[in-house]
Amino acid sequence: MKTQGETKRNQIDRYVNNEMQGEELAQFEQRMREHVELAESVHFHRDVLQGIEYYFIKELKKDLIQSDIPKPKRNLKTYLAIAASVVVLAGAGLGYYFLKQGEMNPSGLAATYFEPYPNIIAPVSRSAAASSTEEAMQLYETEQYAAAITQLNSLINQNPDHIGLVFYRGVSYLGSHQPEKAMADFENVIEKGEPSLREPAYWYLGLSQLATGQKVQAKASFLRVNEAEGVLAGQSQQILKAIQ
Amino acid sequence: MQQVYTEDQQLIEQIRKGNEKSVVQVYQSFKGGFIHWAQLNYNIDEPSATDAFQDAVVCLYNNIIKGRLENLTSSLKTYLYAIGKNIIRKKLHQPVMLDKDDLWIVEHLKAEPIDSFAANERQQLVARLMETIGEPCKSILRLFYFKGFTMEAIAKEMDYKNENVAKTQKLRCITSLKKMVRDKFSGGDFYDD
Repeated sequence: MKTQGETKRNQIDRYVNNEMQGEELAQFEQRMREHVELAESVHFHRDVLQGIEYYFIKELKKDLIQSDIPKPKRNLKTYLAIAASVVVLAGAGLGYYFLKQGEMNPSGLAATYFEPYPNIIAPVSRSAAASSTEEAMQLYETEQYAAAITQLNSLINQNPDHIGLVFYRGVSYLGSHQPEKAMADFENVIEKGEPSLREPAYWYLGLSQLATGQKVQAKASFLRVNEAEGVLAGQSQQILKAIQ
Repeated sequence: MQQVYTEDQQLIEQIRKGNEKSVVQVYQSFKGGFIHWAQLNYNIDEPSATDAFQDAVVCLYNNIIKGRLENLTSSLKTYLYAIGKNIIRKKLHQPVMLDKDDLWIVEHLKAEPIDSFAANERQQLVARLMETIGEPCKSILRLFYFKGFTMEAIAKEMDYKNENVAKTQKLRCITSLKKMVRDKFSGGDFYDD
């Protein structure tokens, strides 16, 4: 049963949205004339709705302005990122197949989709004079995640603003079955990171959330991957369909 | 005999269904022509013409979502130019003559500059508070008030159990927004509903 407050709110909303007619409309307007508080509530409600509309139309105008700004040409890093996502996708098709067959739970799906993101920050020279970052990334490339994490921790302590290192530590955590720690790193990357890592960060965050059984949160992350409209969007949509 | 504007009608259908890329497509398709035409005919610079055209596209979108533009009786270009002319007239105070077709469009659609959508202090405050409202409120309000989705469609989109859950959530969001407005305005001069 509706309370008196709900009924009043509903009436105000219907009045503001021009959904009242005839006798009901006349009676409501009469009540507004007699009760100044009701009239003010109506004005307030109308202002709130118009304010909401105003906000969104300004957002649309911003989108139009944004569409006039030429998109930057892809740099080498972006091409590497695309190549990386192709690697990620290699596992994706298989995972989707299994899930469709009803043979896999979300954490199993995360494990199947997981592929380490290629090293795009410090190509490993394999020379004797390799830098600390190269050493860490060499461990990462050879999937020695525990050792890579130790090295990356040390590097991040020295340079906390190097968001690329945080990203690879997140991938290493996920690769070594520590999704909670991975999530913290990916959230950090998303919050502070550079745009080129945003999409893969959401992707791996989604996988980490799947690995911990957080389907709702994973869904939100994969939706963000979709919004980026990058190369991971198609596979992200497949996961979304599959986990629904 | 009424001409059929199939391609334009399809674009409108896409916009009505919530495809925002179609709005940008309309904007980019007609922008260059409008700016050139506006500069040629009125005493305005390129940024002003661009701004007027952006407002015209926003108005067109709003009219489509609000159901004021169901079936085209002119081309999309004619609608956009008529709305754009009205905006140049009102916002840039230019002496623009509207012909019979323009007048019909302006009278049947909302064709005002977007600044006049919200004029008072409280509406401006609500718009500012929308920046901070967070999820899921922003998405629900966007789908309902900006994209014209039904509560049933919102429930589906947001993965709610049914439309009543979506309605309740929307009500909570509005109530929360109202509380934020009241908190900003001192004295509690609004009726507590």
